[in-house]
Amino acid sequence: MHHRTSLNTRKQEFRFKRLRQLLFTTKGLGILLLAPAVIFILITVVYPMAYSFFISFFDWNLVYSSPTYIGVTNYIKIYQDVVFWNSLRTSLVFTFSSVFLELLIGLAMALLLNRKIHGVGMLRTIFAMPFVITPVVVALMWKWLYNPDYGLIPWVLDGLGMANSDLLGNPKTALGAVIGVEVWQTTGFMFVLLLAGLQSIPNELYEASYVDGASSLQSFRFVTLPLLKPVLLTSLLLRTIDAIKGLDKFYILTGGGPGTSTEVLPLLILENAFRYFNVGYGAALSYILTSVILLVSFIYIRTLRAIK
Amino acid sequence: MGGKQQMTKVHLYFQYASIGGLIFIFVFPILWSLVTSFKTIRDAMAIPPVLLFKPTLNNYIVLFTKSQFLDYLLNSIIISASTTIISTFIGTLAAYSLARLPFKGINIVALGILIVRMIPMVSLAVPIYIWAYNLGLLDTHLVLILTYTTFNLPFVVWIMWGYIKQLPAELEDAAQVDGCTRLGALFKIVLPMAAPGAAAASIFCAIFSWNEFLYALVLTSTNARTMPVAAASFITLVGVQWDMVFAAVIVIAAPIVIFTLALQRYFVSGLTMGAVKG
Repeated sequence: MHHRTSLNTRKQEFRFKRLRQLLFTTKGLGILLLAPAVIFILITVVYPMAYSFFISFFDWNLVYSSPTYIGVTNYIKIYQDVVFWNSLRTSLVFTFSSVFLELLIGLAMALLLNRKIHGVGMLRTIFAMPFVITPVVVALMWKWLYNPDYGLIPWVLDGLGMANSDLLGNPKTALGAVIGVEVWQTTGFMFVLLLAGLQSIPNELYEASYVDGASSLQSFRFVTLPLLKPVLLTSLLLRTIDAIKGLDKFYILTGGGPGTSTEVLPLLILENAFRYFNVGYGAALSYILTSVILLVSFIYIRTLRAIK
Repeated sequence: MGGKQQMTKVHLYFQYASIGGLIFIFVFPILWSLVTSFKTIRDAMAIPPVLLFKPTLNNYIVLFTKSQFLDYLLNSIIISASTTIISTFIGTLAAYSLARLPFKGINIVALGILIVRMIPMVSLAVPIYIWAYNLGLLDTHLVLILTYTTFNLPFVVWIMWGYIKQLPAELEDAAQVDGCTRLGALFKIVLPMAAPGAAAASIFCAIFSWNEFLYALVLTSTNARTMPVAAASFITLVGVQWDMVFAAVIVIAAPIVIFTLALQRYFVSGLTMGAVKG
C-alpha cells in the first residue's frame, strides 16, 4: 500500500511539473507569451510574402488565365518596361524631395521652438495634427483647394499672375503639388521627433562651447548635429519607408496622371494587380519595390551604425 | 547697447511672425474644410470665396441619405476597435516576454519587427487577396481586422518593448518574493504600470486602422467597406460629388482630431517613444 501511494504521487508530480514548466519558468513563459505574436506574423506576413514570391514566376491573370510557369520572364519584362523605370524614378523623386523638405522645415521649426517653454505643448499638437488625419481625407481637402475652377490655390495663383494655375492638371507641376500635400501632412511628425531630440541635448554642452568661444553656427555644427544624428536618421528612415510605400494621395489627387507624371510604383502595382488582374506581374513588381525599400533602409541603418 | 536691443526685438518679432505663419499654414486647410462643409454647393463654389454665408447641414444630410455612409462609419468603428484590442493585447504580452525574459535569438526578433514595417502593404495585398478569396473572407470585417493586426503588432511590440524595459523590475521581484508567480506578477503589477504605454500604442493602432485605405479598397466591396474607401468612391468618372466629399471629410477627420486633442500627452509620447528610444 505504501508503495502504490508513492507511485501515484510521483505521476501527479510529473504532470504538474510539465505544466509548471510551461507557465512558471522563465523560458516557458517567455515562449508562451511571445508565441501568439510570432505565429500571427508567420501566418499573415511570412507565408504571403513567400506565396507572392512564388507567384511572381508565373504568368497569371485572375480573370483570363490559369497560372503558367514562365520562370523569370516577369522580371525581364519589368527590366525592359519603360513604364516601370518611369514609375521608379517618380517614386524616388517624390520620396527624397518630400523627406528632404520635411527634414529642412521640421528642423527649422524644432530649432525655432526649442526655447519657448510656454505653450509648446499646444503648438506641438497643432503641428502634429495633420499627421494623424486620414491621408485620403487630407488628399480630398487639398483636391478641393487645388480645384482649377473653384479652389483657393488657383485663384490665388491667378491673382499673382501665374499662367497655368491648375497645378494638378499640368504634368510639369503635378508631382510637385502632391509633394506639397505630403510635406504639409508629415512635417509635423519630423518636427515632434526632432524637437524631442533637441530637448534631450543637455544645456551644459552649449554653455561649455560658448565659454570656449564658439559662435552659434559652430555650436550647431559641433554640438547639435552630432548629438541629433541618431534621432535624425531614425526619423529619416521611418519617413522614407513610408513615403516610398505611399499611394493614397496619388490615388485621390491625380490617379497617376496627367499622363504618367505622378505614376508612382505602388500605384503601378495596384493597377497591374487589381485593375488588370495580372497578379504574376504585380507580384514581381511588388518584390522589386520591397527590394528597393530594403536597400534604402540598409543604407540608412549602416550609416546609423557607423556613427554609434 | 541700443543697437543690440533692436536686434533682439527684430529677432523676437521674426520668431513670433514665423510661428504665426506656421500655425496658419498648418491649421488653415483643416478649418477651411470645416467651414466649407457647412456651405451650400453654390456658396462653396463661389469665386472669390465667401466668408459670410448661411450655414447649412445639407452636405451631411445628402451624405447619410444618398449613400450608406452610416454603415461605413460603423464598419470603421468595429474594425478599428477590434484590431486595436487584439493587437495591444498580443503585442504587450510579446513585448513583456522580450523585455523581461531575454533569450538568445532576441536580436533576430528585433530585426524581424523592423523588416515587417518595411514591407510595403501593396506587396502583401496580392497574396492576401487570393487567400481571402479562397477562404471566402472577401468583404468581411474579419479579413480587415486580421490584416490590420498584422501591421499593428510590430508597432505595439516596438513601443511596449521599450516601455516595459524601463519599468523597474524590483516591483516584480518583490512580488515574486512574496509568493506571486511570474505570470501573476505580469498581470497584477506590470500590466497596470504599462497602461500609459499601452494607451499610446492603442491610439496609434486605432488611428492607423481608421485611416487605412489600400486593403479596405482591395478586400471589401459593399458589406465591410470603411469610410476612406467610401470617400474615395465619391470621385467618379463623370465628376466629383463634392457635397458628399465635404461632409465625409469632416465625419472621418473629426473623431481623430477630437481624440488627439483630448489625449495629447499620450499621443506625443507615443510618437517619440517609437522613434527616439527605438
